[in-house]
Amino acid sequence: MRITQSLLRLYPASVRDYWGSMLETDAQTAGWRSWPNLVAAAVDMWLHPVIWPAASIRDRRHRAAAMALVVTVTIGIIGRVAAATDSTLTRHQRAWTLTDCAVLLAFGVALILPLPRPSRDAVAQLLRSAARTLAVPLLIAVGAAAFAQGAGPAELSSARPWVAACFWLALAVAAVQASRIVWTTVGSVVLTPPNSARLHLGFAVLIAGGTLASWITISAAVAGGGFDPLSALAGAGLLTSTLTLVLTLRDLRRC
Amino acid sequence: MQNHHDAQTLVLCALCDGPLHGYAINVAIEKMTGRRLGVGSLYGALTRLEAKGLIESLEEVARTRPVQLTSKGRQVVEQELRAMARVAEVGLRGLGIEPA
Repeated sequence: MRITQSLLRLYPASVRDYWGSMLETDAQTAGWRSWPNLVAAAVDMWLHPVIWPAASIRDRRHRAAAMALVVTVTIGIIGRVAAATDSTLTRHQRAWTLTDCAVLLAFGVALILPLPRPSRDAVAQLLRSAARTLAVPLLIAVGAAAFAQGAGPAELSSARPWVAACFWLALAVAAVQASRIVWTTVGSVVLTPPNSARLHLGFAVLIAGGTLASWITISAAVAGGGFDPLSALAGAGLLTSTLTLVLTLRDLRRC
Repeated sequence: MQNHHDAQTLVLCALCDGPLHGYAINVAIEKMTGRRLGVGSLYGALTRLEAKGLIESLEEVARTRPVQLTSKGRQVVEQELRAMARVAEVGLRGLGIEPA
């Protein structure tokens, strides 16, 4: 059945390839009753990349690092948007969100970031891949920053929201593209994942940063006796993302 | 979706008799519990168990990939079953029923 095959395509390629026709045959035999369970299990698999079939523990560490990078980018974007739009955040809380959390997240990323293999070919391949995927969003971000610097006050005041949106969107795209480089085949070939101790420490730091950002945003949502649904939503997003890091760390310890 | 831990325990129990492939594991589980696991739950449990080193895949036979317990898997399932037996024994005694 075509629908069953489409649902199986939701699974990560390594899981699909490993169980192959056996999974497909069983799903086809079970019929439409298996569809909700197939979808739930596919989502579950994407939340646990460390457990996907792998040739070595190095592959599992690489996937954990890639997952951490993607989740940290998500936390960074949600945190930045929440800090910029939330009027209930005090100046002190805003400063915390932007500095302490960002410093923790940046330190965590530095710890979990896979490094290029020490060979000229690997570095060249990585640079080519980075240039191909990052050039456009970075040029847009630099262009927006240059416009903001060069434009007159009248010109800038009307265009400010669009320039700011353009700048942050371009940076977000660049961050997502950087995560994709780590995640994809190119990344697994040219990059070396961090060793176990560095990876675990990196996860601990990222979880601390994510928890701090969640706490600040959620506390701002209920500050002053009122309730700000947007902050609460952002806080829930941050907390869910942080929980994903906790799950990945747990998987890493079990495998 | 069935609890991950329950599904993994059922798969381990089904494999106690020897290597089986996915469909046969589900048939064995149906014999034990009266119902099968969802296909997603079954393959999720197999993927997790293999990642933990509790089961291992054998050579592909007729487009199926049988799996079997590893020695670590045997130890884990034995501990799990002994713990369950102790709980069952205590519960049955509490109900005034002598365990078999």
